[in-house]
Formats: sequence, C-alpha cells, structure tokens
Amino acid sequence: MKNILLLIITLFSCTPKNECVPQNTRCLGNQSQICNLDKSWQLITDCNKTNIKTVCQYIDEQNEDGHVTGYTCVKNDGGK
Amino acid sequence: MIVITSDLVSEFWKFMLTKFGTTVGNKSDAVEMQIVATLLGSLGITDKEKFLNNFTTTIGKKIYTPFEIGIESSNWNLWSQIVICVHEHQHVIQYNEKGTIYEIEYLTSRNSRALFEVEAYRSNLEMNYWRYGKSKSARETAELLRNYGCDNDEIELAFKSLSLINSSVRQNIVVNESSKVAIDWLNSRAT
Repeated sequence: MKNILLLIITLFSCTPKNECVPQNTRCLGNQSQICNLDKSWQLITDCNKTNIKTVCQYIDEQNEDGHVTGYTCVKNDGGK
Repeated sequence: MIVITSDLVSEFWKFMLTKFGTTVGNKSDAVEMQIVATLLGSLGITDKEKFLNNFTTTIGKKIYTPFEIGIESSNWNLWSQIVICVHEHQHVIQYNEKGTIYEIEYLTSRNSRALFEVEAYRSNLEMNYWRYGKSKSARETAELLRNYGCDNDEIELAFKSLSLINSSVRQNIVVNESSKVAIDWLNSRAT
C-alpha cells in the first residue's frame, strides 16, 4: 500500500515541465531567450523585429565584454 | 556626422514627446516625485536624494528630468540628455504594452525591474554605438542596476543578457523601437 501511494505521489507530483537553468540561453523560433532567475524562459531579442534581417544563432566570441557565449540575433550572413 | 547642440537636444525632445504622446516635467518641481522618492526609499529600491537628483523617471507617459532640457549640467551633458530621452521612451513603450501591470511589476519585483531596465538599457547601447561606433561595457551597464535595488544574481543575469545584446549591437543591429525612431530622426539631421 505504501509503495502504491509513493508511486501515485511520484506520478502526479507537480513538476514544472519548462524549468530551465538560470543564465542558459536558447533560440525559440527566431527569438533569443535567457533563463530567468525564476527558472522560466525570458525573451532577450525578437530577431524578427531588428532593423536589418537577423537570425537567432549561437555565438562563442571574445570581445570587450569578455568571453561571450549564448544565443543572440546575428546578421543573416552569420555576422560576417 | 552630427553636432549635438542645445537646440538640437531641445528639438529632439520635442520630436520624441510628440511622436510618443508623452509630456515632460522638472523633477524638482513635482510634488508627485517627492512622494515617489519617499515610496522608493521605503521599499529599499533606491536612495531618496539620489533618486531626486540623479535619475530621470517616467510614470505612465510623463517623464520627469532632473535637468533642464538642452542645458548642460555637471551630471547631464547634451548627449546623455538625448540617450536618456530614448531610454525613458522605451519605458513608455513598456507601459503602452502592459499598462498598470508594468508599473506594479516594476515596483514590486526586483527581477521584473531588472528585465525592464535591461530592455531600456539596450537603447543606451544602441544609441552609443550609433554615435561612437563603440558600445558601452555590458558589465558597467549591468552594475547600474544596483541603483535600482537589484542584487548580485539579477546583475549577473543582466550582464549575460547585455553581453549578448552588445554582440548584436556591434553588428549595427537595432531592436528597440525608441532607438529606431531616434536614430532615424538624428540621421535626418546629420550632415
């Protein structure tokens, strides 16, 4: 009986399905998103709303801000 | 190339106010700002005196400046008066999109406040890149959130977001509506 109860609790416990790790980033469609402190995804940039044509893409670069990695909007030619 | 003059700054503000249906007031003259300063101070969001003297504030569609538009002061040079105009109008866009919920979230949630400010600070990065071909440091910009009562976790998240935003800005990518409008106007005045 105890095992059945545990099984039921495990199966029906409320685990948020979309929880993410804070500071992780992703592309969702053509939007770049960052995982917020409440472990939900938050829009950084809608790449469809930029002044020039851009796509959401992973970057790994060293620049004035340091070693920057993650998903952001880049020019459609790959930023070249 | 554009020369930033007092007249240009005044004209720019007039243009933005008309475009977004906003109004402007002087912070030191406004009784409501004294009330807000006390409220923010008691909520631990920002220091009352600092808020009144150093920060431009927008409530709904009214912008309160601690400077006379078009007149340089020690804290506010002419270019910074243009940039803050664009920054505050991005807050107006946030208000237009979410209404009172925006103001409640801004006041009651540090996390939300940080997100709203990151979006508005994107305008600063975009404007500085437009003028100087160099964007401001993501770290320095994120650290400004301490003035808004944000803690280290929120600042680190803001830094990550602003670093990624900066990578786009350095490719001349402009996203914020307030920046697009401002840059179009300034380009039309450039020689």
